[in-house]
Amino acid sequence: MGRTTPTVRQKIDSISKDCMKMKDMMEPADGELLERMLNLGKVHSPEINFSGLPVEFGYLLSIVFELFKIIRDGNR
Amino acid sequence: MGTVDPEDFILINATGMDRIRLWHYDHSRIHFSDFDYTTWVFLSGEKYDLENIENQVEKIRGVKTAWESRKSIYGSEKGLCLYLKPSMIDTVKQFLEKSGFRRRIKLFNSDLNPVHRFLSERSMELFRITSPEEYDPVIPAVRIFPYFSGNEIRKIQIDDTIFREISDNTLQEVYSSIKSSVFVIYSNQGSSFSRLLEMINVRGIGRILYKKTPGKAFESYGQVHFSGDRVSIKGKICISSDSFIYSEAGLPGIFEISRVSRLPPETASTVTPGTAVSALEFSKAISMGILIPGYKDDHESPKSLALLRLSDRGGITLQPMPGLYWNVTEIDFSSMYPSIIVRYNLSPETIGHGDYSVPWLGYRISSSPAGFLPLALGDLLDLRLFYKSIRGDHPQYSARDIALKWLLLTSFGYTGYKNAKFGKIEIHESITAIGRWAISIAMAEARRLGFTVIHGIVDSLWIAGDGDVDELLRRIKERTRLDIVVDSRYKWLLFPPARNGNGSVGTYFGLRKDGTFKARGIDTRREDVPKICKDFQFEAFSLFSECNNNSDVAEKSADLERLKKKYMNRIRSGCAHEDLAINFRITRRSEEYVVNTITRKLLKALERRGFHINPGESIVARIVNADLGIFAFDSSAEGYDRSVYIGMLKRSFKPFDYMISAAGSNHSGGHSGKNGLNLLRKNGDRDIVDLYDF
Repeated sequence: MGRTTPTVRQKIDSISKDCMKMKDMMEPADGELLERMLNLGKVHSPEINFSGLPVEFGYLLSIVFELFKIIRDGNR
Repeated sequence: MGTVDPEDFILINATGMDRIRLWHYDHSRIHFSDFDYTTWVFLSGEKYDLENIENQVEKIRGVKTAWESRKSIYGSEKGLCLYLKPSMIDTVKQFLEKSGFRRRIKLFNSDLNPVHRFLSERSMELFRITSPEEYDPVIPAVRIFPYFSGNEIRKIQIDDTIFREISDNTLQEVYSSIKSSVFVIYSNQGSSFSRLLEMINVRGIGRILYKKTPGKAFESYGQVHFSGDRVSIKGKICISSDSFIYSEAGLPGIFEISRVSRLPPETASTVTPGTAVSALEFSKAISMGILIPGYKDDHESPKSLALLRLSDRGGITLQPMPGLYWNVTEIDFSSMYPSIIVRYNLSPETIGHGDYSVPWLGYRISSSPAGFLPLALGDLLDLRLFYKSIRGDHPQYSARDIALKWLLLTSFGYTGYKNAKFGKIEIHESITAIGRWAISIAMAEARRLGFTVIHGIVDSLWIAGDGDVDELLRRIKERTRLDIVVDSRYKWLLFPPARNGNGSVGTYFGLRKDGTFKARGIDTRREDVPKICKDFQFEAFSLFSECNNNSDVAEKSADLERLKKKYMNRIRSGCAHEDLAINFRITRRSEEYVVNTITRKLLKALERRGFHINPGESIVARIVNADLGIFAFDSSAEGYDRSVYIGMLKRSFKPFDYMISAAGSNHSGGHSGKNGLNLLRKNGDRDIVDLYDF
């Protein structure tokens, strides 16, 4: 069938899974924070797909963007 | 040559190969007429090779040759035409393979179904109607469903009558029903129907000539299915009840597929929608005099890794933010991908040069003349949109609409299938690219008119707000040239959070403004959930059916708790066994499981009783003890595993718990909830994170 490459969502999940290996070496509270931060970037997978940006860059940009929103709103 | 004039009677079937038999129905019985059939295959290539082939094949008895010029979708082809009986085609193909010519020449019209080709060449229409509104011809049909349990036929359903005793009288009833019908719709679970036919023959009730084709497991759209043994009865048209099209659209759906694709009804009932679409394309090509390649050589054009990454992106699925939304409209493009093929003239021969380019990809496309695919699919698309507009609750029009919808759905996927004769991957990529562009246009226009876009899946958008929806549809249609309609208007719509706190794609439920509910991805839609969980969710829906704002929803908290308690008590105090039955769909063999899941335990329990279940089959069972792997398959065994069912029920509660908390977090109206992560933290309840992994 048509698709031959993984979807953005699949790639992000794979990157996120790799990053989560860091959690085992972290203090539990830091690990929770890492997981939360990685989840933040996942909400923008449609936009990354739409833009055609490299997924790694798009994912990182999405995390930064969501963190920026948290800083701006100050209550999240 | 037969004597029946096809104009007088309804053509309902065709069979055969070198001698084609047409089945005509005259409103009381079937008339057969036979035709000797000679067909042809076409070869193009180097003249020297073709002359060599001509010299060789002329020695094969029954093959005649002629030098001709014929049309392909790319233009004219000159070559050698071989006239022969359909049964000879394989001999010629074997000769070409063994003699080494196969790779040096192009072979056309070499692997077509002879019956389908015969009907297409003569523009013969099965189940002919004179206008799309006309009803299907009335043809006698019987449904025979033997119910099989413990390796025995326990009861037989003939149409709506159930016979609980398998006596000679019952078998006589089955025999008479088959004799008086043209269509026999059967269920053959555990070969029960073929056993029934055997019993009729052995006990001397009657004589039925039939043959069996063994069933098999197969995977389609990520799900494993099992098609049981198929049965053909001489002189009857047999449709298995597990046929995909029959289960989706019934007999009228099969009639419609036969009508548009010219596939005989038995074939139409067994093939996938993709095969039916290719049959439709072949039929169109035959009627237009266009050659159909025997071996596909429209390979993917070389492209850079960057272009592959850009082009291979599929449709857009927006990430919903979890929350409770008010005043939501769901709009969707009608048959989006087929419409793109037709409106944007996407076909293998129109790509590569032309007057417009595909967004992002830059492929050039000619907008005229109309390409083969738009021509082949255009009529089908118009017909489907017509039935969609008039169907209402009409059973025949609805069935036709569903059948055509499946054909159109797969027509897109087929453009990217490596063996599709009229497919090309660049067409597939262009369709999805234009689809992404169209949905982005729709989102931009929706925002311009003051709507909030809350979710989107490929060709559908969910938008919240009070803007002018009609104006929105007009603008989108004007800019994209694609039809878009309102699917549903919701008073409220809930997107529960997934395990990671983000919205779960494709999981939502809501109350439409007409008072009906729509749910996707929750327990009411799942097959593997017991009835008690579904009952709870249906009852919970009605609890919120009068809510007009967040405050109304939040006020239902106590009622919801009472409802939850009522259902918990039902499980704790003793529940009817039929409310606890679970439909287990088997996806692999027991030895293929890595983890000892409840399904593996079930398979092991069945194997101990001597039953081997194929992947794709389903088993209905009640869990008596999950740890020990004890199951009940009928009401004779007592008991059930309370902890397992309580766990399932608690999972059914969770979307509604979230609904209350989402409404409670914002009483001012409008959207509430927003980010599931916020709510999880506010509630200080980590457990809730695990709740929404549907």
